[in-house]
Amino acid sequence: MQAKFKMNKREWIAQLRLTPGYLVLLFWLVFSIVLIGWIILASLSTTKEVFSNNLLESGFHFDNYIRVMEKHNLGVYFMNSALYSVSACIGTVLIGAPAAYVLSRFQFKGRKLLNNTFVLLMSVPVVMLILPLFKMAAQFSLTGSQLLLIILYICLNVPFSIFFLSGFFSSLPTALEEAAEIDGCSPAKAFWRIMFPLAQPGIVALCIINFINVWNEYFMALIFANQTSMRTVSIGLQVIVQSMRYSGDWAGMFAGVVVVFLPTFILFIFLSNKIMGNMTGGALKE
Amino acid sequence: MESEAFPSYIPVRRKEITMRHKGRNLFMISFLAPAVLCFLFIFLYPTARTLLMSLFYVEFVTDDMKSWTFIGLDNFETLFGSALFLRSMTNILKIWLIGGAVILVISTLLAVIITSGVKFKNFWRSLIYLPHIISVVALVTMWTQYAFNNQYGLFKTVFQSLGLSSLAAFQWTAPENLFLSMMIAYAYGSIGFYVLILAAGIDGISKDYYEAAEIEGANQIAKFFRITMPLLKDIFKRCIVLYSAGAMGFFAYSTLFSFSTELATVTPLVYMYDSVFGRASGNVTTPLNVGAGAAVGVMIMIMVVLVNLLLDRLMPNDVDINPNKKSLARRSRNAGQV
Repeated sequence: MQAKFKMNKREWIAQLRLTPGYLVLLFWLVFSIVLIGWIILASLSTTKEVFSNNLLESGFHFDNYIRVMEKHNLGVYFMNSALYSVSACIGTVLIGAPAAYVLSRFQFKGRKLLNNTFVLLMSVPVVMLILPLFKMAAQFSLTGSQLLLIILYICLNVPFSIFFLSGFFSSLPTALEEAAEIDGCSPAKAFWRIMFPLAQPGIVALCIINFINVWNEYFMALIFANQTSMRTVSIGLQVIVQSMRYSGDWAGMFAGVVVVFLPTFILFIFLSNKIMGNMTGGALKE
Repeated sequence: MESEAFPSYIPVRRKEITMRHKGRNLFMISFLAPAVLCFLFIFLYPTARTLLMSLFYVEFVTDDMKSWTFIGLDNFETLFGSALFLRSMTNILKIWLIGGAVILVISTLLAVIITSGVKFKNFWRSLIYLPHIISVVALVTMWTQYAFNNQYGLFKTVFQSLGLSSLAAFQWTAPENLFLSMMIAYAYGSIGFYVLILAAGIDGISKDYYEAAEIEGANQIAKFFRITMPLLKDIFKRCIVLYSAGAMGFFAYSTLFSFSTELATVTPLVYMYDSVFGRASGNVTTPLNVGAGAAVGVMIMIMVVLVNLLLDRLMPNDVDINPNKKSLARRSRNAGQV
């Protein structure tokens, strides 16, 4: 009993010594809550309340959301971003996973060269790619089509996906493939039936990272999504912010901000513990 | 894509070894082909074409190669003769050196705090990482339309209630303060990423070193400078490499923090966007010149490579392949003698 008390006391002293650290963390917490919380409250108030700093005085105004989604096309942008993000997730996995599998588990000529190339590609600045890509898009008359951004978002994320998944595939045991081969299963079938499902944790983490990246992507969207019908939420929000300055609908603008950050925010809150470890693995990108 | 990934295989009979070999090659080719095609068409060809383009005069992005005029290094000369481009280079230097130093120091501090034994470590780590997963446009809108606002803004309200009227009157979005405001918002959004990497690095350091140092009576500061810093060298280097790449491609914050005075926040990438696609926003005009835009791209790539070479010079990787054995033991011995 006494020993336990002693332990507690020692622990208390140790924790007490960390007070300055706690204060710094607490400061960050309070700031983040105020910053994001105020935006959420403002998105439910009227513009007049925003300016007089009396948020929610007249109750909740969900019509801000309806207005920004319908009148300012945020609904269209939202669906576009969802389409790009989901198809980029699926596409990169379908292209990246087989390549990562072969590169991490088979010996062949040029393997090292290919591996190094993919790592190198991750560090090529996008600015080196966009001018010719713009020309190619015009050549294949993809300008103004959602397919263009789908293709770009898939392909641009392939090198990172290969790099990321290679680690997962090389950690799996070889016994299963050998067994499959003896049973007459083709290597391709063995991959899709056995290895692919086994790498699921890595694939799920990769999908979440890719989803967040594509949802938030700004530069490519600014250059290639030059029409309302193909804009992403980021570009759409920028347009809304610029127009709100003239239309004066600030509450609607804050509702737009909430709509744009909520999907990745929720994804992160529910899955952060699952993906945090993998995020560091992905530190080589960015 | 899917049809390529699922080649219709006839089950291979074990006797036919050559056939099996062929099947294996076919399998590998079909698995690698989509990725290699993507590499050739989306990465290699565009990079080569941009390199070439930087040596030509090109009027419109969609122009055929036939209509390009070779002008050698004139595009680079144009860049260095442009006041706007030079301003963008000094801005990027400030972002890289000053911004980088401040952001990495704060990140290190937070990483040390998180790994110092505080309760709810995962929660704090996620909290600090959170801004990094929010869309930059949404984040910047929060900052410019709320935190920095001069009527109902967060900073104004807080400083006012504290009685600091001069700070409350600070015009965050005035042209002369725009750069500072931009860097504060950028730091808030990006620190979590480096904290994550650094905290993982600190977690990887064996606790024995710290315990030994504690027995010898080392305090927190000594432990940090004698153990954490030297052992985290490679991770610091990686953070600097990542930060540099991000700084060289600085664009989103820069465009979003331009209301009327781009000079304060202009970066090479913004200059490039302007000279290829016309104005990004605001009122600074650059003559349309796609070749010069390509030259900016080449400059950015060269800068990234130079930074990496410089870092390799200043912070060479440990030659010792297994650092856990000798060099660490030596360092920890030094650490013990505080």
